Amino acid sequence: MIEYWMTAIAFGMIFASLAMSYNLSAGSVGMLSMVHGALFGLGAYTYALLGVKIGSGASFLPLLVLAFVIAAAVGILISIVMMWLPSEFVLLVTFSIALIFTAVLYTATPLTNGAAGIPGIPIPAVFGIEIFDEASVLIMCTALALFTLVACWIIGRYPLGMAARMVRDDPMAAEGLGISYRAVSAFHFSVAGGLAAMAGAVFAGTVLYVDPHAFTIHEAILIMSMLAIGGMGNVYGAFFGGLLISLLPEFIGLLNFSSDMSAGIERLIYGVLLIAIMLVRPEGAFPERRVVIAQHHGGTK
Amino acid sequence: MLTDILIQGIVVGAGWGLIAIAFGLITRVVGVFHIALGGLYGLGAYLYLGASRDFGLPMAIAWLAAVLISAIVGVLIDELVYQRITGLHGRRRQTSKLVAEAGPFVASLGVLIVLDSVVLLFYGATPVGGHRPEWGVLDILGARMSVWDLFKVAISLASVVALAWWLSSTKSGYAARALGESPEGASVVGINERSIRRILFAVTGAIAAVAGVMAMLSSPMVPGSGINVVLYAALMTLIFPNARIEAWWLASIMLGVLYTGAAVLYNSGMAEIVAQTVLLSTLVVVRIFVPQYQKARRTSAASKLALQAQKFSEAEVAK
Repeated sequence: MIEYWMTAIAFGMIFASLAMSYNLSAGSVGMLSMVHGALFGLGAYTYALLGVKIGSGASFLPLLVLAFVIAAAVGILISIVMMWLPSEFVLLVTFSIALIFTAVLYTATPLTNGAAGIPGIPIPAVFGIEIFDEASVLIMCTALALFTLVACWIIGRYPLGMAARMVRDDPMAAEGLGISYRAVSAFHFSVAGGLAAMAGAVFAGTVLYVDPHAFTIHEAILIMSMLAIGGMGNVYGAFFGGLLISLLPEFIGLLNFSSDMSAGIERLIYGVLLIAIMLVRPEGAFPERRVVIAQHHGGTK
Repeated sequence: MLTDILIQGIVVGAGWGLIAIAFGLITRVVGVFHIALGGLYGLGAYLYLGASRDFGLPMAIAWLAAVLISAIVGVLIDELVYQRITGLHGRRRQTSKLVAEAGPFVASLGVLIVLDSVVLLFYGATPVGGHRPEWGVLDILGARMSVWDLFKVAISLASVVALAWWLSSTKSGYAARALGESPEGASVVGINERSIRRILFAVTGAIAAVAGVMAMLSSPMVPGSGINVVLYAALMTLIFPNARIEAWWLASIMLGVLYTGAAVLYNSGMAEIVAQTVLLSTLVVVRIFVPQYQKARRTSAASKLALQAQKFSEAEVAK
């Protein structure tokens, strides 16, 4: 039983990383997109395809870096297109990109093996230690979550993060202060994509099998739900939302329903949660802490 | 073969066209990306299935029941979710700009998930389809077209014509257009926003159900299949945001032909890629390189109504 929960928490950590990385683009800089699930899938397929080709898990860390670089480059390209479009179009355009990505995974059979997926992904090995039992997998996934948390925290705390929040809240004022809207947005979007791809590579290294079912548009919706429920703009909220939503199926699984029933109840709960949070607490469970500069008798604090 | 592709494409596009006009109307008048229409599409289809298969109702009655319930659910979505989030129903919560912008869309996604999950709970994930009516086959320029397919195109066309007439020739249609152009102006001339929204959400919910039932009767369906259709609709209405609803319908027909052609020549996955890519590239090209295309072609319904109100008050004074 303990092994089961260790695996469940390991997956929770992967999805928490994904939600935190999504927060970097959606919450910090305000670039809401539906393409994050596709970037997650890109990372998973990068490790799966190259890992199988190389045939050794020793390449795990270099492939993790490669997944980051590829997804970051794709992220820059997407962000350039996004910047040309009015903000209200971005969600739907990225929705479409995500659907194309899934369709490509299904269709490009010679490369991706279509719906059958890619089995036999090598067990990751870090510094010569193979990561195959539940404890080591949990450590790997927790390390990923910590890495993402620290990366997001550092980016958010220093001038680049503050510039991002300014771009999000008042782009005109940001431009007036010499902050490049395009550069800041592209940086955040590409780093977020890179981190999502790393989560994808770790996911592939954990399940050792990938197929397109895991990277459909529903995953993108799930990631957005995690952030909306946890709190947009707050990295801790994103962590909480990711962990909560990804562990939800495990708790429902305890009730011994059929698979369709469990899937239905799970979706129903997070759909209702999503609506309820937007109605009752639109900023999410853990809203972003805002810096308030109060004026007192002509002075500022 | 070309005629076959053309005919099948028109049939596919006729279904998508219904969702396109419903999505476009809501976006234009209310300003919300009503993604939940995909859920109403699925709900309508499965309601029909339940009414005809489980309750044994005749096709027309089952269809009518599905349409009516979907219309009511459509109105409830607006009353219980959108109006509360956008602040029309009571005081709006103070939120950040990001949350205020994303809120209605996220909530719409939530509604879509809820509707799909309800269907999943009742019917499971196994593909199901209704009994396709066997009304015979027609020979059109050497290609075969079933009377049922012709009926679907006719229903779709009739819906577009009826909606276009409603928008251009009725008082409530004028009011809806005025609301879309200027909510403040509409309020000044005494238009009741909530009642117009009720009509609009009921009509679009009903249209989504009509399209859903048509799809269910043509091929097996799984819960959640409305999302792709609503995305096609969304992209099409974004490419031509100021177009007349007939143009959205025609664009859907063209997309249906393109999709069917790619599906016949390759497979459905490739058809999906081709259709999405064409829509995306057209959207990007139109938005980036043809800004003048976006100039409004519609007549100012708000100013027409204001003029009518002024004439009316002058006539009253003269009396």
